[in-house]
Formats: sequence, structure tokens, C-alpha cells
Amino acid sequence: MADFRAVAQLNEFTSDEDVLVVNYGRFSVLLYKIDGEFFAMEDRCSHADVLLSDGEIDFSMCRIQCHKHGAMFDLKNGQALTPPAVVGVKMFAVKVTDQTISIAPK
Amino acid sequence: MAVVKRLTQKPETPVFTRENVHALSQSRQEPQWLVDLRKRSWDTYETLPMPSLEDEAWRRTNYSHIDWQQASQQHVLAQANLSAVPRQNLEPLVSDENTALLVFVDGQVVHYSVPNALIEQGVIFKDLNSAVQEHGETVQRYLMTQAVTPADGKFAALNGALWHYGWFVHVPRNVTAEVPMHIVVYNTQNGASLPRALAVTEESANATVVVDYISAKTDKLSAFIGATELLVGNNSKLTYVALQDWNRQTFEFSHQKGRIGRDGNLDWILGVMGSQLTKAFIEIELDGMGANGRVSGFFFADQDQLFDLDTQQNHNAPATTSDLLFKGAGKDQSRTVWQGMIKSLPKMQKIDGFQASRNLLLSDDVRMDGIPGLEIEADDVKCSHAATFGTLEEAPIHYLMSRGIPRNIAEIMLIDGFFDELLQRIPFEKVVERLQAAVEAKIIS
Repeated sequence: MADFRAVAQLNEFTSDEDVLVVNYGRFSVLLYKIDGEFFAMEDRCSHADVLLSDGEIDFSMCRIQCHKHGAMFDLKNGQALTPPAVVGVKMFAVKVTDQTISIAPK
Repeated sequence: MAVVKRLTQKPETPVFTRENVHALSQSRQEPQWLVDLRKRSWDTYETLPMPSLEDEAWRRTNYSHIDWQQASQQHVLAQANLSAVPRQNLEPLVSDENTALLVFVDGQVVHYSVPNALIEQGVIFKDLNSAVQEHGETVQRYLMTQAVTPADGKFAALNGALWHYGWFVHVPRNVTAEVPMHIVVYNTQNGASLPRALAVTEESANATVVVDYISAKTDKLSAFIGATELLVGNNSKLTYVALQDWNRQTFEFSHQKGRIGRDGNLDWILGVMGSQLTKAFIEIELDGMGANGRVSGFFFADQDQLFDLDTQQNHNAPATTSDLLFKGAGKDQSRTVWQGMIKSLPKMQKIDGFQASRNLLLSDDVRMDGIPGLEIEADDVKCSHAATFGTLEEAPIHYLMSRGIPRNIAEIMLIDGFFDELLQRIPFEKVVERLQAAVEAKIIS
């Protein structure tokens, strides 16, 4: 059974462009919305462990680019889109209950 | 344009202050040299930033979720008792009887026994606070002078300022310690634990020291911020075994360093099984010709444990030898990182340095990193490194099952076989048995 943990409140999103960086245990996780739906992705490039939150997030193209070596990942499923990444990024399930946003490893 | 906001509601540093340092020294009536040493450590601590994911040595270890309010809490403790320690952890590990035994519960000495034979040899085996009072000059000569110093990092500086218990082993010149020395560190409370270990073998001395680190289950977080200094004199030998099995609420940050003199020999055995997160710096400095350092590391991570083991083999003299083997397994969603460096100073010829990390992945979600490195500035040397990763293969499992061995037993046998190369380096049967029992417990859990 997934271990959902509360990580943020709905009112911490003040715009659709907000990306929150939260902790799930030792995982640093990016929390964001696309078309009103919440997604959560581990804040770590699968290529060289660099923080993805320092990179460029493009909601219109639904992708995030690592600032270190340019690897891109799909914001919805974490899939690696370009080298040098060959492995996707870990995604987390997201649940909203009342005003609280919770996540759990998928 | 995306706007990134980092949410953090917890204190981001341990909740100690300079006043804690002053109060600690006063309560112990420490000599002025130690008061000054703690103050200088604190000064260094204040100048250093907390390590972060931006630092190369830390970029795979996120500890920002620690609630330092809980983890660095200092308790006013009631009198601790030996009965709190599990019986099996008081059993001797390297001999038939535990004649030299020092036991701490929550940083307090609850048992101390040392045989006359050791005392008559002039060996000092004592808790560090007592050693400061009774052998101050000797302790002052070695404490924080050559191995782990505050400049080594934020947590090293914190330990230098606020270590509140520890042990001191000193073996005089030409003495072979009659019996091995066993230290047990057992914590029952959450909060901060900052021990300091100092072992010194003078020229041509010989000793064996074994340390057991364990804690009871707690609901709240703990931080173990430790420092270990091993000073191996010319032509002396120190065998040092450290087994760690903290509870799952513990975060360990430790600096451990051995310095080895001319023709000296350090045989260092480490076992890492517990904690939620361990970040350990393990270094050997080979300072004299003929110095030899062997480091054997065992680790097994499960559930959501993270072990980040950072090793360094520094050849500071020619004709020195180092041999490092780290073997570990990971399962569930755990993560292990081993980063190792062999470094030789310029013109340090005829060195022989070896490092290997061998990793066994036992689940689809585990992640294990092995990052070996060499920085060699001489041209007549033999240096090699290796990092390997594998999973359990079906063929040998099938073979064992075809001989009537149930699958789960077959897997245990193969995993035991994986660790055997490392266990062969351990000269103490009971230590091997302890590690084998840990492997079984981890596999079954």
C-alpha cells in the first residue's frame, strides 16, 4: 500500500507556473500542475544526480531540461527524452485531500 | 515562466550554540587546552556552511528532511544502566572473554573493566573524559592534532566543539596489548550523540580494538555526529573493527581517519547495517615508507536506507601500500553510494594502491553508485581500481534448487557467497558470524 505523506498545501500554489520543491524522506521532489492535474517528479537528473530544479522547466512543451548536460525529461511520466539521460526520472503519485497535497512513490 | 519555490519548515542546522560549548567545558571542569580546542572548533564550525547537494562530496545525499530540532536534542539523562544493553552485544567478539570492556549507554559509562595485565603493560584504555583528567598530556598530544580536525568539515568541527563522550586507547612503545579492547555504544534516547574515538599505537606496538554501535528503537530522530582518530606509529599494528547498526530514526555523519607511520600496519574493518542515512568519510593517510593500510567495508541497505561512504587512500610517502575492498548489497528502495579516491603526492614512487567496490542489487528499485578515482602524480607506481554491479543470477539459484534446496535458502547461500571474499579478510570468527547473521536478517525482512 502506497505510503502517502503530506508535503504541501493547495494555497502554496499561487499560479499555474509554480513548481514546489518538497521532501519525501530523502527524496527531493518537484511538485507542479499541468492542465489542473498535479504531478510529482524526483528532483534528480538520472544522468549525473544534478538537481533538476536548477534547470529549465517548459510547461508548454511538457518537459524539463537539466542545466548541467542538457538531458530532457517528460514532465508527465519522467521519461528520458534526450541523451545523455537514458533512464527516466522517478515519479510519485499525488493525492489531494481537502487542502492538503500528499505524495507517495509509484 | 516556471517559478521554483523550495518549501522548508524545519531548522536547517543542528540547534547547538556557542553557549552549549561553554557549558559543556564548565560542567566537566576541563583543562584550559581542551576549552580552547573546543572554542576553536566552534569558531571553525560557524565559518563553514552546511554541506549541500551543490557540494561534490554531498550531491548524492539529501539530508534536508532532517528535523534538527528533534535530532540534535540534548537530553538531561537519568542514570543509565548496563541492563539496557542487549546481552548479545556484550558478548566478546574477538576473544573468548571480554576482559577489557567499556560500555556506554546514552553517552554515560555503565561498565568499565580492564585486566591488570593491560594496566601493567602501561596500556591506557579509558573513556575519553576520564583520560583527559588522568592522562591530559598524552591526550593533548594526539587529540585533534593529526587525524580528524575541525577543518575537515562542518560535522567534524561540530564534533570537535561538542563531543561529550568517547574513548582513548594508548599502547606504549614496543608493547603488544595482552587482550583486545571492546567498546559498546548503545543509545536508548533520541537526539544528539557526539562521541570521539582516539586510538594510538606507539612505535612497534600492537593492539586490537572493536567497537559496536547500536541503538534501541525510538519514535523520534537522532543524529550521530562522530569522529574516529587512529594513529598507527612506526612499525606498529592496529586492528580496528567498527560495526554499526543504528535504529532507523538515526542519521549518522562521521569523519574517520587513520594515519600510519613508517612500516606501520592498519587493518580496518567496517560494517554498516543500520541508520536511516549514513554519510561517512573514511580515510587513511600513509605517512611513512613501508606503511600499509587495509580497509574492508561491509554494508547492506534495505527499505529506504541511504548509505554514502566516501573513502580516501592518501599515499604521502613512497613504497606504501593500500588495499580497500567495499562489498555491499541493497534491496527494496534503498540507495548506496561509494566514492573512493587513491591519491599519491608527487614523486611518491613504488606505491601500490588498490580499491574495489562490489555491489549486489537485490531489487528493481534499489540504486547503488560506485565511483572510483585515482589521482596519481608519480610514474613508477601500481594503482588500480574497480567497481562492479550485479544481480542474483537465476542459473545458480536453479542449480541449488535442483539439488533440493528451497529458493529462499539458495538465495541466502548465493548472497553469503558474494560476501565471502570480504569476510575472508576478517580474522575474527565471531565478527564474521555477526555480519552473516545481519545478512540473513536483512534478506528475510
